[in-house]
Amino acid sequence: MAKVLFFCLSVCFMIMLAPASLQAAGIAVLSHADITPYRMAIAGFREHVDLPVHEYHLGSKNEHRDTVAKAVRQQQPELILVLGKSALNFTRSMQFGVPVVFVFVLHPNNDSNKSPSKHPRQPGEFGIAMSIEPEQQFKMLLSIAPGMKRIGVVYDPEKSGVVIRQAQAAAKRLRIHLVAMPASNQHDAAIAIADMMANIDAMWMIPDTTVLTSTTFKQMMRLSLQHAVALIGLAPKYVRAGSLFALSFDSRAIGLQAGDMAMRILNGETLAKRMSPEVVRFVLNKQTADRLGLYLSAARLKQAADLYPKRKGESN
Amino acid sequence: MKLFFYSLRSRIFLSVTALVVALSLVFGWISIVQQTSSLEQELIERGQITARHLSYGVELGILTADVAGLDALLKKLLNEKDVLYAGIHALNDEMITSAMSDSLDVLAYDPALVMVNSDDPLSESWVKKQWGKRDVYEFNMPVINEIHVAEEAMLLDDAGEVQRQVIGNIHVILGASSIENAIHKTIVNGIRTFFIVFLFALLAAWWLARALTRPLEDMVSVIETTKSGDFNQRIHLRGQNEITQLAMSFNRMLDVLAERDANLHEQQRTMQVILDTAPVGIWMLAADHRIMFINKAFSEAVGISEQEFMDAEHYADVLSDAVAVQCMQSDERCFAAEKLVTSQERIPCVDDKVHVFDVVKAPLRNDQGEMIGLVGIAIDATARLEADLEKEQMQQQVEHTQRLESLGVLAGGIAHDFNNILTSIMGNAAMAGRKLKGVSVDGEEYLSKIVHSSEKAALLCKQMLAYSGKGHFIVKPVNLSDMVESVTSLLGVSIYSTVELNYRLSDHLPNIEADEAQLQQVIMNLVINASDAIGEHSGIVTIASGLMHADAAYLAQTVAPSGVELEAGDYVYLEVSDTGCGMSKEVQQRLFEPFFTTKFTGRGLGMSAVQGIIRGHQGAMNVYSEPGKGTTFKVLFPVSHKQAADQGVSAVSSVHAWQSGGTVLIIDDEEMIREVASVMLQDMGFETLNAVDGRDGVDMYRQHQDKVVAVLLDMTMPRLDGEGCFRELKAINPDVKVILSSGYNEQDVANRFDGEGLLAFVQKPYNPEELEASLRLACAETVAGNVV
Repeated sequence: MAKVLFFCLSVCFMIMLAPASLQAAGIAVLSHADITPYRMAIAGFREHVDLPVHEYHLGSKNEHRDTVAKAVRQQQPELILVLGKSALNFTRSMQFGVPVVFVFVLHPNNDSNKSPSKHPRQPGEFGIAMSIEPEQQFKMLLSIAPGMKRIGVVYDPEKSGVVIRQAQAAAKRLRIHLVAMPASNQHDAAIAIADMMANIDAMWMIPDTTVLTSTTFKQMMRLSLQHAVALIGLAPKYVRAGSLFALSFDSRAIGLQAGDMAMRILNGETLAKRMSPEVVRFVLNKQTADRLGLYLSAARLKQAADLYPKRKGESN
Repeated sequence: MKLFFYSLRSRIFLSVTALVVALSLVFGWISIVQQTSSLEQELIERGQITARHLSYGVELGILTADVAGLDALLKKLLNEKDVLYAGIHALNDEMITSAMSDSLDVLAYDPALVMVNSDDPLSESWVKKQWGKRDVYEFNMPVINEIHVAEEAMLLDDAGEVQRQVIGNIHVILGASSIENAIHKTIVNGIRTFFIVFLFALLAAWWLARALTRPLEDMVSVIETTKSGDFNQRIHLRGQNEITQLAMSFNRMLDVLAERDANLHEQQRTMQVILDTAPVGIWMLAADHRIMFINKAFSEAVGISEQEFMDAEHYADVLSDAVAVQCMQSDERCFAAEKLVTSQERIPCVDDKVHVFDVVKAPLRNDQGEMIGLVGIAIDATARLEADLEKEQMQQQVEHTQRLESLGVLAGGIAHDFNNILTSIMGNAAMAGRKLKGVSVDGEEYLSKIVHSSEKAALLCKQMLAYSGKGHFIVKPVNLSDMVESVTSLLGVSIYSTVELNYRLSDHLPNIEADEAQLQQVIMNLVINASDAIGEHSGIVTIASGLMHADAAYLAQTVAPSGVELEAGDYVYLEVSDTGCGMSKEVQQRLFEPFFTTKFTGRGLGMSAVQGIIRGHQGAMNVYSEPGKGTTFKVLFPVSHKQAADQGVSAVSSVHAWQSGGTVLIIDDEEMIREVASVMLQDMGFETLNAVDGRDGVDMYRQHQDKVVAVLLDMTMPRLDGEGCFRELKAINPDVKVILSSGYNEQDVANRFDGEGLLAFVQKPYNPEELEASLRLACAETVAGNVV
């Protein structure tokens, strides 16, 4: 009881001694929706930032953009934390004139992989890249299934050409064969997947909206089962659906990392414009591994942040 | 049959059966409706799932335009249940491919049936429609491909909004034949089930009805048995339900009823015994005059069985009309007044006599106080009435006898006083005659007439005394037939010449104890009365005598001495019959009353004297008379066992020598008697001493006993009567010579002085000769004893 009382008094004391400017502006957090990964990241961000944090949601179709813009301007934040590409584009278009730290943005420099962004990057724009290096993913595959040397991937050259090139370089280093087939639309992607599946050991999923739809994912799943091909997922939801594993982000860790960046920016430190996620989560589907005949050591299983399928009583 | 439908068992049976049938039908109908709905819902869900699966399965085919793969998929789909048609359409509604069941070959497919929801292409829909004569269900399902709106969403679990892109449409048509078949099968099974349930319902209803009504039937059976008076039956208890409790309560009630019935039967038996043995008639009459009950005693008394009374609808059915009318009149009075009525009814009884009943009839009411009949009680009053009549007659007879006795006492008293007077008259006249003898012829003649008149007066007194039973008579054995013959000569001048005397006298009669003079007086009076009854007409008077044995019953019917019960035995009778006018009942009743006479010149003392004489002789008399036919008097005297040799005491004494002189003490309360007796005795040569009563006489005798040779003692005196005086005189001198002088007869006196040494008796009125004769008898003590 005495500790609780002491904590409350301390908080009040600290609020009273805080600088008036900081206390008045704080940090604005912009996102297009209130979804779970964002809430976790904001929670982590708040843990690391001592300033007031005001959240603004633009709506899924940016229907609140004017209201949010007015509110942000009135707030006059010291820094803006942006979650998602939509909010980043909004921030860029509004030109609030304060440093921006963005997270959960896949391609910050263009609206799509095909065209440059019409919202040019602002000078004080920092962010955490939302990508896991292909080499890291291939290494993980090899550590789990060392015999899988042929890895297939279907990609839209306009959206994922850079990533494929990075992947091919990594494959070369790792002495594996990356079978990459381009597809400019869903029809071609579906055909490419169907054609490729019989000749590969594993299918590498990439965040390409041309290729990866619900239909093509179901196609991949069906064919992977049919041809005993391991799927390398993009996120835990794919592992849950049957992919062998995925290297994913920890939303809270990203929030903490973003908070650290924000505080360092506000403190006038010099930071790199792009930073990689400090924490990568290894998510594994043991059932898929068993179906593929892969042996998973206890250490490997222990390495997995999430292991699917979940045992009874465990949450997804 | 009608009873079957109204019985509880049948009602329960029919109700339960009907209920089960109704419930079965309702539940069957509900089941069919529900099953139809369920099957339809199942078909719809199956169709949706089929369409949904097909839409999932054809995404890639549509994307890759793999028509052959889609065809194979659709044909495979047709093998699924109820699927009649499946088609895949592109976004522009152009059909990519389709497949149709063979069973629909004859039916034309109408593309217009394909339904696309243009408002919301993403929504799935279904519709039920007619295809030909069939009900079909058509399902429309969009083929959707989801694309992430935000690129980063691909990397996040919660990707937020995704873009749903329709890439084609699926149309699946399912027939309802499976539903129809299932419903048909359900109906068939339902009908089978219904019949099975119906059979079970019948059995269950029968069992239930039986289970429910059997205890009730047992109860009814026991109740019916109870109605016949048998309280020993009990309801068999089954189980522990409410009906069993009811049966237990009923059994307990039967126990109580049985005990009450037993008590009631005992009371009824007691009442029946009382009713049957009660010496009264008891019956109950309904409002319609039907006899509901009659007790045994009454039915036996009237000689009509109880059942005959019960079966009769009316009194007249079992009783004579007169009796029935009599009974009904009192019934009607009771019904009209609705209160207790009394009557006296004469009803013929089994002893062929008409009995008189005192009848009480009381209303019989129900609980509401309404009169529903009457109760009659009849008490046989015949014996009581006869007893009352007899008592009344007895009372009249007693009163009559008492009156006669009073008259007798009166007559005796008068005669006694008259005798004293006559004694003085006759004595003085006799003494005067002696003095005037030879002096005056006229004087002697006058004195002679005085004496003659006195003697007539003395005769009247004698009859009066005879009536009172106190007349002077000397009892001795007498033969009645001889007496009649001796009197016959005197009768000739006393009866009418037209009357013929007829004698039927017995020759060998035993003697009777009687005073000859009085017996003669009886014969004379009876014969003269018989002659007078005939009068101047010709007729016969029969005089008969004989010996008869009279029992108590016979003697009870006779005119016997008052207060004396005659003993049964042999009696000598004298019967005097005439063919005269006879006597009426009234005359017969007053026949022996003193001074009652039917004769113009009669004095009314003849038959009174006869009765007194007979009473004085311990005899009896019967009278038979009918007006116009004649009269018979029959006089009975008890037979004497003494012989005729006893007679003649006075005669013997009379022969002894007479020696006068001395003093005679006269004890009499009548001065004129003392004076005339003194004159008579002095004329005989005696000196006299006079005492005014018994006490004075005793004192004088004690004073002069030495010179008193005899005592003339009156019987009735104040202070000390003759009897007490005699005993005191005997106490002073046992050899004292006493001549008793009285107006009563000698027999009475002899009875009172029996064995006490009475020497002589002289009855008033006496003349000097009679006094001298008595004095001679008393003084002749050496030769004769007592006169008795």
